[in-house]
Amino acid sequence: MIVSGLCMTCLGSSFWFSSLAPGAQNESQPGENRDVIATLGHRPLVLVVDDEPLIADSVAAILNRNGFDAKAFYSGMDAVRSVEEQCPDIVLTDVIMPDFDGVRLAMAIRACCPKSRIVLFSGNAATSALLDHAVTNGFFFELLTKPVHPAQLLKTLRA
Amino acid sequence: MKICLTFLSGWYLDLVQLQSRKREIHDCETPGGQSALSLVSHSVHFYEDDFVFLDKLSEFAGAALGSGSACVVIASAPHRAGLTERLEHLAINLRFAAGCDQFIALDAEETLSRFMVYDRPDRELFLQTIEPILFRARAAVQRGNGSITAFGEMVAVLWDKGQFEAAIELENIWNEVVARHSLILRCAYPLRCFADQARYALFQRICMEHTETIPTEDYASLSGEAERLRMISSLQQKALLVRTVVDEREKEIAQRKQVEERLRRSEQFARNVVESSDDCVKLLDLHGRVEYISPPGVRALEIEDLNEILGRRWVDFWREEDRPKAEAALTAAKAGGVGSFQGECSTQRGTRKSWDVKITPIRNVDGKIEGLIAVSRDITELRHAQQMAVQAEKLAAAGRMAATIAHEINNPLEAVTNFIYLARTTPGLPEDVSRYLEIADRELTRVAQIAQKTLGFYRDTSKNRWVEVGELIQDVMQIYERKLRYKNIQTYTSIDSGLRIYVKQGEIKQALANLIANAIDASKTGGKIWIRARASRHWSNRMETGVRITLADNGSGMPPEVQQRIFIPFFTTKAEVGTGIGLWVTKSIIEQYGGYLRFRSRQGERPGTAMSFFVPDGRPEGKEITVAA
Repeated sequence: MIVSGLCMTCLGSSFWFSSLAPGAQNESQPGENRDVIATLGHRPLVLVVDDEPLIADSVAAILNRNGFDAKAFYSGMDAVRSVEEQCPDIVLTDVIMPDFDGVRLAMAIRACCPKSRIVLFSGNAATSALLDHAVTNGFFFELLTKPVHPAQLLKTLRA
Repeated sequence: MKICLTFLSGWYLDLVQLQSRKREIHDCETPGGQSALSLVSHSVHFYEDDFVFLDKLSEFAGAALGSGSACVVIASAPHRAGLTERLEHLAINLRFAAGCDQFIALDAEETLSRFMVYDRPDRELFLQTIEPILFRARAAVQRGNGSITAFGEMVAVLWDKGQFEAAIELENIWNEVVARHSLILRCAYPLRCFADQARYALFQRICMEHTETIPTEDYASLSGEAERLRMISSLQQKALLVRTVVDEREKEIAQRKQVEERLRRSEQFARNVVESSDDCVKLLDLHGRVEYISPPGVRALEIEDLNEILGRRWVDFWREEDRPKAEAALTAAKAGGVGSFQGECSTQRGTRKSWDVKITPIRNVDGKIEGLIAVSRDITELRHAQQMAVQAEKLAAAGRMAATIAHEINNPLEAVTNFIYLARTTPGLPEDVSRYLEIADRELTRVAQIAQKTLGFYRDTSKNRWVEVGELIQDVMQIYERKLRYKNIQTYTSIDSGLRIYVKQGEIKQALANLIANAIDASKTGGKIWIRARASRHWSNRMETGVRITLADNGSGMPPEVQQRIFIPFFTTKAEVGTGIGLWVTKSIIEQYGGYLRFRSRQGERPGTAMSFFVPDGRPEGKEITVAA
């Protein structure tokens, strides 16, 4: 039912793909993280960064309920500081943020934690300009467009 | 009365001159074999005035008849009538003279016709015609005493017809006859026959043919040597005067020619300027009526019949709402200023065109305005481009606004979606709460969907990569599976295997999804959709290979006015659900890859629409195609 083999290039349109197949969200159960946990040997550590606390908190709560170990941050700076202690498995960050934007954060984390998977998360077309900048500097990041349905988000992070 | 006096004095003088004039004296053999001294001459009279000529002729003929000579006259009918009248006035019994052949009058034209052959006098025929008459005259003379006097103007008749050589030949033959018959012959030419420089030589030749020349009336009756010398001096002075006048006239003519040439050049220049310009140049009179339209103007206005336009009021050709502007410009120009405005005016064939117009006055030498010149430039294209620019600007503004709204809406949407999800997945929820949350989630999904479609101008920032066409179509069809099932639409796909294109997958998916969504929207329940993918070539550049994907439906089809506008952004027939950017985005995406999108649509019987696009299979080694929003 769900489009298989979603790649990063078509993630942008994945929201309405999944929305046409209601019921997908019911498939997400904590147990489905078993594969990831089996690979990693622990619950995947996810840094959720968004200057909107409501989004950061709610996404972290959803992930925690679904087999991830998620921490919410409201600024890029705070997220970078936390990385000094431990490299996360996944960084899920908003792009447009005051002071320290998501693309800068992504590049900083890529520099010190090359193994971390970085997924950008944006609701703004201006994101492209920031991403172009990253691309010209040799960085490639996955991009999810807001709003992304939690079911889709879980599916992406588990892939 | 005056004529009579002149005549009498002339008559008297002539008798005197007759004796004093220099004459060639010939030895002449009379028919009787006696050698006698006889007066023989062939004179020519140049005259200006018919009255004077007739007076002179009657003196000549009267003197002959009065002295007992015979007289032969070959003249035109009016001249014969004039002569008869004058001779009878002199109390000469003409009837008697004619009865005894002392006076013989013949018609010039009629006599001419007897000996002219192919416009040339025939000598034999001439002699056959003239000599019997001369013999008759001679017989009359022998009864009395005297010689034969003859007058002829056949030469003048020939001259008048332009047969100059024939006239001179005739003079020649006459000379022969004069010698043979001891004639005193006179002929006469109106002087106007020689009022031409080119005939100077001919005039000389005529004079050469004669023994005596009688000048025109002013110089014919000089009384003595002193008067003669005075006349000669006077003539020389006149000749000099004539030469001066002629010189001056020639200078004047040369000058006029120069001026004319300058004028011609300046006219030519003005015409070249007017005719080579693409502008429509018109001349108007002071009432604003069209007098002239330049050839490029005639072409631009698509005028087939210029007469239909000329003479009509220029203002009336403008669109009704532009007429006050045209009238104001006309008034400004009539007042000596420059009138200008922009307006719309249809061509004679009905094509609507926009014009930029300037009207200026034309002044005559005194500075008085005597007309107006209106120059119009076709700015239809410019207007169109300006409108397009405005449209593009609107689009950009809309895009910026959409981006702002998207950002503002997407964050709260995301948060709400998350919280509903958290609430829904909380264990131990009452069943009805769970159902409410499910509905809330579904409705929110719709909001997200609309926001995405309306505000999220989709941008794919990933790199180009090879995309399998079969997989691509299958993926997109899957998105619409539910919708297709809901409307019970049958799909028929025919995809060649192994087709692939080098593109950004997200973009090409969106392009294809837009076309399928439109096909589904146009389809009725139970409709059909065909999808076909083939290896193909670019329609203009046959060297370029690629893939053509064709999507056809048997839905409602589009009326022509919709077909013309489907690629214009924000044009939609689906007012409630559509945004009007789907096909515009699709077309831009395809064109960015160097491809093209075409369609055919019809309504009525067997309606439907077919959309077909071509995408080159791309050059992985070439430059990366960057995609702008």
